[in-house]
Amino acid sequence: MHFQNHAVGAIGTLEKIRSQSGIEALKSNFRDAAKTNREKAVSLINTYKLRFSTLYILLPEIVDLNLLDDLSPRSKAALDFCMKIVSGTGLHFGAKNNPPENTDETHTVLKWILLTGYEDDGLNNEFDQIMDAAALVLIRTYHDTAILPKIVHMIFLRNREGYYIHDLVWALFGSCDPKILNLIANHLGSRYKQDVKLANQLLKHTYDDENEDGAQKRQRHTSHNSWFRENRPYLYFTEESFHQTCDPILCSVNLEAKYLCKKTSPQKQLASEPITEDDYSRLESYRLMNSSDKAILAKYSHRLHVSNREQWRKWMKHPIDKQLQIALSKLGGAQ
Amino acid sequence: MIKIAGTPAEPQNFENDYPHNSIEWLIIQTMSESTENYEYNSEDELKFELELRKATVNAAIALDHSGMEFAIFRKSKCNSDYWNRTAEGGFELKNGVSASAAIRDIFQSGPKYATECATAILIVYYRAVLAVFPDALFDKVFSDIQLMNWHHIDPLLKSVGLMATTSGFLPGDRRYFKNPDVNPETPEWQGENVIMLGSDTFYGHGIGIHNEATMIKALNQNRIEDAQKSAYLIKRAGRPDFEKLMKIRNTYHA
Repeated sequence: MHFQNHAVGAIGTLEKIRSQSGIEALKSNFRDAAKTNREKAVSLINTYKLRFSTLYILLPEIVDLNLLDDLSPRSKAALDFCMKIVSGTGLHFGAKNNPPENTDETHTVLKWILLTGYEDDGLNNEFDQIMDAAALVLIRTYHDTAILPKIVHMIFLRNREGYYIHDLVWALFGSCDPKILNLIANHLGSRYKQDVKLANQLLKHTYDDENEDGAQKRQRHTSHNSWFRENRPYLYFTEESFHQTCDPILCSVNLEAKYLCKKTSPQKQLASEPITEDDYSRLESYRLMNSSDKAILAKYSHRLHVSNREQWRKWMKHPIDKQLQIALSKLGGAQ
Repeated sequence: MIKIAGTPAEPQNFENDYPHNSIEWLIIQTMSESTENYEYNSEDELKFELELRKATVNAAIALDHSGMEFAIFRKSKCNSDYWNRTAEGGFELKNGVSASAAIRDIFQSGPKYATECATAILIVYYRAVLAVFPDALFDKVFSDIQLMNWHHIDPLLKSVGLMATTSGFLPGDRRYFKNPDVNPETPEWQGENVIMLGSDTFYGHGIGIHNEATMIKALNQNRIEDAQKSAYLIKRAGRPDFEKLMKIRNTYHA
């Protein structure tokens, strides 16, 4: 059995009623339809065009009308997941009607929940909790990175309304995908002060004044882009969270890897390329430097490595003090 | 080692002030045996820290006994006589309400409250400061409390929300057990914020008062299937700015 693919963008009858007449009209129309023609009501709810939020809204009616066992496998699986998240136990279907446990199908169902539910985020606390859980499982269990733009969208919308975002932020950074930094940076130029403040809080490497004019915001975005281009190979995700600290550093640059010009695995604070004996010996001296000098050495090393590999090899052979002296003279005001 | 005004201080100097079975004595001994330097401008400064650390331990035990329930932010609850529940699930001090009375109410009417572990730890620190500040000073300094994990934290307690690497840990420290392989369906178990009560005793809201091994076991029960990584206690601590808080108390005149 395979679930039909997501109906993102398609609009079913129930969706039309809801968008044109609201939630209460949707409920009463569905209830009336079920009383007059049960099969018709079941077909309305089982259409592949159904959006998760509509299914969620109609759940009390579905239970009242005893329609649970008539639901499509996709809807059953979705509601089972909801109940597990909200109350800790799944729904009770008839013995032969349990939702499938195939992991590919679970992935498809969770993606349907998120992609056809995220636009209704904020519906109520319980619905948002389900969105959080779907996002967390999609990212942390299924490593689904296609949903990341939607997660960023939800985080910034919720933040404007003062709603809870910490689990979604944790889900987002749990992806260990550096592209999320650019998705967040897109909000540095937002007209909403809350967006700018949150983007700065999450990115950390930029400034902390949300009262900037348009030109300053554009400059900030440009600065982020150059920072990202330079540091992308050395980024790693720290696993810190708002649960742990008031000022988490969610993503950081592995300066030792940058100094050696070795790519870093975003999941671990380790260089993903082999480290040689010479590298270890260089790191011994590097680790004795103060944090400001470490940053200068890493920046210069990376830039020289990109522009002139031969010069870089020569520079790396100098003692660390000489390396720093050259780096300081060449970088000048570009530090 | 303890240093007061640059001079090393021996534990024996404080024997008359603190009995050997007291929390303060345990802290003094731990500091003295540590490779870390605990430096104070005056003996009063050390004694203030000991007083606040002891108050923190007592507040943690009291909160554990209060009956306050565990709940995720979406299901948090509070006594609406004192607090407004925010859209995020935090608690905001109501206008015109005494902060000292509101903090005390959490301990006296525990079952009317439900929150998660980080907010509980923040409540512990507010109660500890209340134990060493006169009520009127507490009300003046903390007139707009927001309780919501480490978010919206009062600048005076911000250092509790941050965590610094340290070589020695003391009763009254805020610490964190991390659970890297947590089940994503239960993000509330991604870690446990705790107060260190003794050398191997911790209070964590939702788990209770236990040793390190039991805390780890509780978190490990909430991991994904086939988890590879155990929960662990990170080697960092959050501490109040004792010096600043003492200055505020000492410069207060009713």
